[in-house]
Amino acid sequence: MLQNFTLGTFSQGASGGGGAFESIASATGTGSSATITFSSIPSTYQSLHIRGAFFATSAGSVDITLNGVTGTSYARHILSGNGSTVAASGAASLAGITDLFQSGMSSTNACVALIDIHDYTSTTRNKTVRVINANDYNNTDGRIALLSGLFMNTNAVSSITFTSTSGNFTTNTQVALYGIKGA
Amino acid sequence: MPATYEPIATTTLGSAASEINFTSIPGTYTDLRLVVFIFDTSSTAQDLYRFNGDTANNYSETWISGNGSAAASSRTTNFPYFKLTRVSNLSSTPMLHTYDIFSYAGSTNKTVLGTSSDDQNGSGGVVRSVGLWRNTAAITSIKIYASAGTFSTGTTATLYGILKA
Repeated sequence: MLQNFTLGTFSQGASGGGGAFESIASATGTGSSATITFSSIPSTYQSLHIRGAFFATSAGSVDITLNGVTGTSYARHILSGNGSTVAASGAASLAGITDLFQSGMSSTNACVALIDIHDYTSTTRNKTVRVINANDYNNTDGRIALLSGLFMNTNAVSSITFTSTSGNFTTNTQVALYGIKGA
Repeated sequence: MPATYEPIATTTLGSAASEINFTSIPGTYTDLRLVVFIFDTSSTAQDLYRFNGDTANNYSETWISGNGSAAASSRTTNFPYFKLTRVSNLSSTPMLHTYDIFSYAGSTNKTVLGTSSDDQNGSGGVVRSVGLWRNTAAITSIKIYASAGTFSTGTTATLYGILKA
């Protein structure tokens, strides 16, 4: 698996200002890989936050896996709107938090996501993931989704992988990982 | 070096005004986050957002919303602005708008995530949106204005910059 990430340091000075919201690492697409992985995530925060703008060479989607685990360890629920109808769906025993963009990826317009992973350092509880993911292509496509994901695993989250289900992430792809501190 | 998440500018209206502008936005961040606490003088006002003074039909937006009894989704294409509007209209009650603007200084079209939240004790609603501004220029200015009436005293808009590692 290609790990094309740029690690920052984890000190207050790395972000220039520190505070409760700190930058941990960021990654850009290479044009030749379908995965982006953040690994060796420090366990010094209360929650993780991810901001992503995804571009791909073909119209696939994005799946999220944690700690390299696939199998049937994930579930999700989605509430979405496509400009005319509202839909709700759920799926269990998945190999990842799947299908963020429903084959809506593009090389010219971003699919964007805001992702929160709470209590990611727990070693006794499963992990809940919140995602807002969306794209708008003017008159050809548009969808916004509110997603709740479950990772049925009690290990602390130490790596996060984004996988393009069709084509590679282009160089305009930009994903940033932040840590949110508790008091 | 800029902080990871820091305010760039804040405007709080001391008297009614027809618009709020952020200009000369630095290109030193990864994303922008706009937070607007709005009082409209018109109960029918829609609150509109433009980038870089672009008045052409380069904006599109897809919404999902709920008003306490029903959910809906709608869309605009080839519009001259982004818009967020309250689900029900009551000008004396504030509402909260946010826009996350991704890769605002980059050379691709610009995608935004919007929210509108208002509750009026018996009415109100929640809106989430995704928008596309079909322009590859870096965003250097943002204009906020109302389709009817003005913004009342106390309306506050803050622009934040978010920096990646």
